[in-house]
Amino acid sequence: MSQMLRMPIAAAVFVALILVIPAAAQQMQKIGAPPEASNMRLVGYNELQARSAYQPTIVHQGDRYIAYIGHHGGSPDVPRPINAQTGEAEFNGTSIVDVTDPAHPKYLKHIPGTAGSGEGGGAQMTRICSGATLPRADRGKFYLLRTLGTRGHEVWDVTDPTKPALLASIGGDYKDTHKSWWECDSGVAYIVSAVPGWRVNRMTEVYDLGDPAHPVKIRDFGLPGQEPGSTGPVPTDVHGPIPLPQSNRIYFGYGSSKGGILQIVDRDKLLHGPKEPTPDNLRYPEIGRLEISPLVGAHTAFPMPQMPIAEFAKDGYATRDFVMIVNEATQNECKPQGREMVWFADVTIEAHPMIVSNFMVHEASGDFCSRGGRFGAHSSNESMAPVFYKKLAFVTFFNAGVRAIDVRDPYAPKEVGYFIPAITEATDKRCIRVDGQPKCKVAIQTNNVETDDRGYIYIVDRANTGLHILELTGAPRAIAGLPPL
Amino acid sequence: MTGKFSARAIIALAVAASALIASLAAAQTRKEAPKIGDPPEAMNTRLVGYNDLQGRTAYQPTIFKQRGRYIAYIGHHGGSGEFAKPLNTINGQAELNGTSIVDVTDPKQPKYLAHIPGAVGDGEAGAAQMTRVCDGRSLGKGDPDKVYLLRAFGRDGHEIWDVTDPAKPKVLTRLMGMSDTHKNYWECEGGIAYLVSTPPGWRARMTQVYDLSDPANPVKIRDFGLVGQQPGATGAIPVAIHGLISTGPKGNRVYFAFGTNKGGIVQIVDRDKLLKGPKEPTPENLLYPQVGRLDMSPLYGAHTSLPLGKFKIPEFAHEKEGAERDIIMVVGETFREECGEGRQMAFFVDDTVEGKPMVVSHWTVPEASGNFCARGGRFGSHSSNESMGPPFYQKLTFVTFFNAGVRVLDIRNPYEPKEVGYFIPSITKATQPRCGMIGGQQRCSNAVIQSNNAETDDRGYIYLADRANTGLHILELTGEARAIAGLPPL
Repeated sequence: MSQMLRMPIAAAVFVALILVIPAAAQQMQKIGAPPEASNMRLVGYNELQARSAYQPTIVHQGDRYIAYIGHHGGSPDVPRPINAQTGEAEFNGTSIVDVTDPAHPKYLKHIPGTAGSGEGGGAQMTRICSGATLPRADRGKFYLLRTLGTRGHEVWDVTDPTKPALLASIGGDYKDTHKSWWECDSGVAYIVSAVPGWRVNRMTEVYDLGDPAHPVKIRDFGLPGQEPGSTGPVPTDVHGPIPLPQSNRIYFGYGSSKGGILQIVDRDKLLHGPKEPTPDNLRYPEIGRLEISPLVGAHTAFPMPQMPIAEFAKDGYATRDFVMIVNEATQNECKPQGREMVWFADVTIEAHPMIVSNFMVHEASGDFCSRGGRFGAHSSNESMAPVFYKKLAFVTFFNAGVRAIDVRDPYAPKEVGYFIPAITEATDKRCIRVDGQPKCKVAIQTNNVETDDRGYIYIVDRANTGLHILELTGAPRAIAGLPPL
Repeated sequence: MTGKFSARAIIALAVAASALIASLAAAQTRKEAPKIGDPPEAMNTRLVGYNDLQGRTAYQPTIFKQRGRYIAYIGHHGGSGEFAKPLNTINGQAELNGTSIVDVTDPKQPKYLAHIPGAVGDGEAGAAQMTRVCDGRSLGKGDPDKVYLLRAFGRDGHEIWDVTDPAKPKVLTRLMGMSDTHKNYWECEGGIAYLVSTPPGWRARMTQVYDLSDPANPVKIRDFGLVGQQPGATGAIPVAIHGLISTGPKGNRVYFAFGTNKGGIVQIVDRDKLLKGPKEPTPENLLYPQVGRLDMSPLYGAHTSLPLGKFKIPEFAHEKEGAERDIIMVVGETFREECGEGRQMAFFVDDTVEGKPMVVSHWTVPEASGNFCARGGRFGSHSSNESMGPPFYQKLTFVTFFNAGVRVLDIRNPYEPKEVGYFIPSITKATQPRCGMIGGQQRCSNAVIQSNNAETDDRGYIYLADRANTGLHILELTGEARAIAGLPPL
């Protein structure tokens, strides 16, 4: 099936490369129309076998750059897309793509995942560590930590990305998993799981994966009220953590799209404190918490400490610590849900984080509520490579594509660019119910984004369109310290 | 010698001239500290009228419509040193700062009517800085023909004056015995009053709730504060109240602001439960009326918590949920001169899900736009207008920023507040420098405007009171800001 799609897709890419609409004041997307962009342009593309895509992770592996892209499960219509390399129908899992030459990405391998539609199946999460940085690994190897649907987690040897080999499994009969994190220097991994007995389907298991082939459990963690044996209302489940080991902190985001909580945790106390999940032991590592709002989730909690704020240069407290919180949109066509956007929390006084500003995409700028599918924020890049960290952040907005945000002053974030990929024949429809009948539209659903240390931006589509590799153009390149094109 | 031109006419002429100069001069903010004789700095605002308020340091202006006249009641801080007892030119007496009463029916020619002296004491320790005014008809049990002024009396307590004839105010009621007061609120519909006080036994400034529907016979309802402030509590004392704003029986909510310039807390309270719930100040009883609470970063304070109510935000028009939001504007106060503390600013809080308020945005004057830290005096936010009626409510707010004057904010989308105007009055010989511990030294700062408080009236005039003794400036909007307010073009 993907061979039939190749010609029209190539044509669409060709059109996209030469014809770009700068101002997005369009209605619904049409096949054949060019992408909408400002200060960003398409460098390269891969269709990812028309699999619905989630987390891309880009690794400098030897002398190559390899992208590992997690996938959601397929749809009831197409539960197992064909892997063109094997000719087999395979459950969505992990795509491995050589992006050393970003203009010519090369699809290397698909590691099948597990049965189940959407977030019920697939293998949506990917994290990679090099054995050279891990404490007790094989120094020559590269390792992939991935989720396996909602069932558990796996560690794979991907030293040869064309011949991945399974090394270890965690769980296997869980009810849910989500956005794990793996510290490559210490080997500590915070994996999002549903350990039996816990009252939420997403809590955190802390593992020592310093020797990735032999995972060692450290402890379980969550909010008091989630642990086995607790009673009363259950606090919002975790979405995923981002640690800053050098600052002895971990930033947990709970609640993708509602009941959001930002939790700031002392890493030492989490790893070395008493492990038994009693309310006191769960409270012990917590330094500060922001309960945001029932209408707002904390899908991503991305720390940006020690930022000099020019506006405050002459006042006291000129340097502030921030966490960028991204709230996920989960409903099609803006119904019914409060607008999801990006929030900036001033966490300078850690016990009392406070939101001070927001970033949103203006709906009217593209008539986004009418285009179909989700409109609103989802996720940000998570790389802390110097090219972009604390200067530019890239946040996906589903049918509004990816947005480049100048975050040098988080009190006054500014959009400096965007890219909304063109749709193709592969782009899947998204439906709502009108008078009991399904009404469907086709639009890009830019799901996740990552960046590499060269300054390329990788976006993946939830609606099966594939991977787009982008670069900045124009003035924003200077913000990143990139040479002009 | 009586010249052809009265003092009033000269002042009116000077105002007109300076307005002309201001419109001809660059409207942009200057980068150097202002000098006497410099025109005001303005954008989309202009000076209409002026009164020197007898050179008294001024705080809360309240504008009241009574018997077809507009009367401004302006509270004052205590003067100090040589300014402890300025001359009241009406009666020739040296008087402690109290309350100025000014007829602003013709805003081009404000007429100073009377001065009611206040308490002894410097700055916020003395005088009578707060004013609220209600008429007997709406209060319910007062004399329907009378008009009443509720004011703080230094730190000692509160007074009610009969100001039916604003030129001849008469004291009616005194509620004394406090050790601190601050920003009271008086619901004119029905007369419930919230007197910010510190009675004996309470561990921090708190709120005494009174029924002042009959101002001659005040009836105490209860005491209220944060758990930990009540008599007998132990442990850390929660930060003190600054002031509050009630939406009365219709809105059934009271918005308390604690912390002033740090450790800000905004408490949203159910008015019915506050007035009718169990009164004994136990922790349970103090929590019972609380609907929600926002604990800000300790770097920021809550001086004013102005409920902006529910309104439709055009940006969210196509959302099925969340198109209509309930917003509170919180303004912190700047205490230190010359940017000696974290910047205080205005924050916008989304309280749509009651009980779960969240900050969504902020606004501050860009310091570099006027080199404000170097100008002298305080720079940073203080207070906002509190009127919740036309023509400005839910469209524009007016926030004072000390040496950056008053700023006009377009808040129709509170997620993205925008400045659409400002006014920084000219200084005069009366403008006094700020003196104290500045930058680690005991010294004085330049003499600069210190726009302290602002209020608005239903005609669309803006009243700006100066803390540095310059007086009262009456402004109107021009240009784009005027259009947003829906006022007819000039």
